[in-house]
Amino acid sequence: MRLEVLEHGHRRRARIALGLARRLTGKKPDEVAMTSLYRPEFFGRPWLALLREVMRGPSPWSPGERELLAAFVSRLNHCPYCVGVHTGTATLGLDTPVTVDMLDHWQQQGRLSPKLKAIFALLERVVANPGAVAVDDVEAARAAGAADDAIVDALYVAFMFNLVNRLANAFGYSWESEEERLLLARALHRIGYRVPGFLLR
Amino acid sequence: MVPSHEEVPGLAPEAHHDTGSDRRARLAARLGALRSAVREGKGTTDVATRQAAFSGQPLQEPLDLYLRKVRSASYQLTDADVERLRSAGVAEDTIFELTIAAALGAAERGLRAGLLALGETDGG
Repeated sequence: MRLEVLEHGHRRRARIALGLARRLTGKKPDEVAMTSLYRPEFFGRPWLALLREVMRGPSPWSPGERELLAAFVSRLNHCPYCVGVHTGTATLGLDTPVTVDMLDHWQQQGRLSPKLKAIFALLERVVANPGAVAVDDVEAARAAGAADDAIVDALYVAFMFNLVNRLANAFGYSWESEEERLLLARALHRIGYRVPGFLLR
Repeated sequence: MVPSHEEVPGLAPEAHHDTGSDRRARLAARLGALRSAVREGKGTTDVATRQAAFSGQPLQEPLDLYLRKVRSASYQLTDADVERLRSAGVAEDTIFELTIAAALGAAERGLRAGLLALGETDGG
């Protein structure tokens, strides 16, 4: 990571927890977590509260579908770190391989429902040109069977990843090996964005 | 990271009997909390500078170029961009805070555009 404070600047209890995680897994902890645990009142605490709600709260989209949307937005934002992790979690959540190739050629994917494709089209517009998002874009998603609740939830997933993709690219998140990428994806799939509350105080 | 007791599924009140409007209100409230923390909460950078980073108003160089990249082309950022800030005497905590403020502002533009097209006005 490009900022020393995000590697080593944590308060005592977060530093101990990160050190423990490192010793238990033999790997560097997730860099989104390392960022969230640094001065958590500024960003990490409210960010993680919203993240858990968006990605694992009650929603018309399954957790796996939300991971797929997360991977798609990350791909649109050219964020290799988040694409790597969230194609992994989407693969686990949907129990079907989610690849970069699939994200790049989503229009040709027979296994994506028309509803998901309409949401992909909307999110493409939201990411690339938010100023041009129009009622027609939303109408197309409605016509493909997406209820307004589903559209709102998809917009929030896009929001979260529009934000974190920029942090990952700016702060220089990376994993050291393919094994580490899969480990991060499995951990997120299993733990679902939960971080012990005492680490965020 | 391990789950804490307070976060065992089923104990969290939001896990059950949810309606779409409850959820939208909760999302908007949590978004509002995030925005307040980053824009107005305790930080090392003054609130006006954070607001400028959030809304895309110009700031002095070399911060301005860096923050424009964060907003519009974050994939172009390299070690050299952050090094340039450091050599100009910008503290790491300033980089941390203003990067988050700029990223949040850019992400909110998309969310607001989508919610507006949907006829939603309660995005927070």
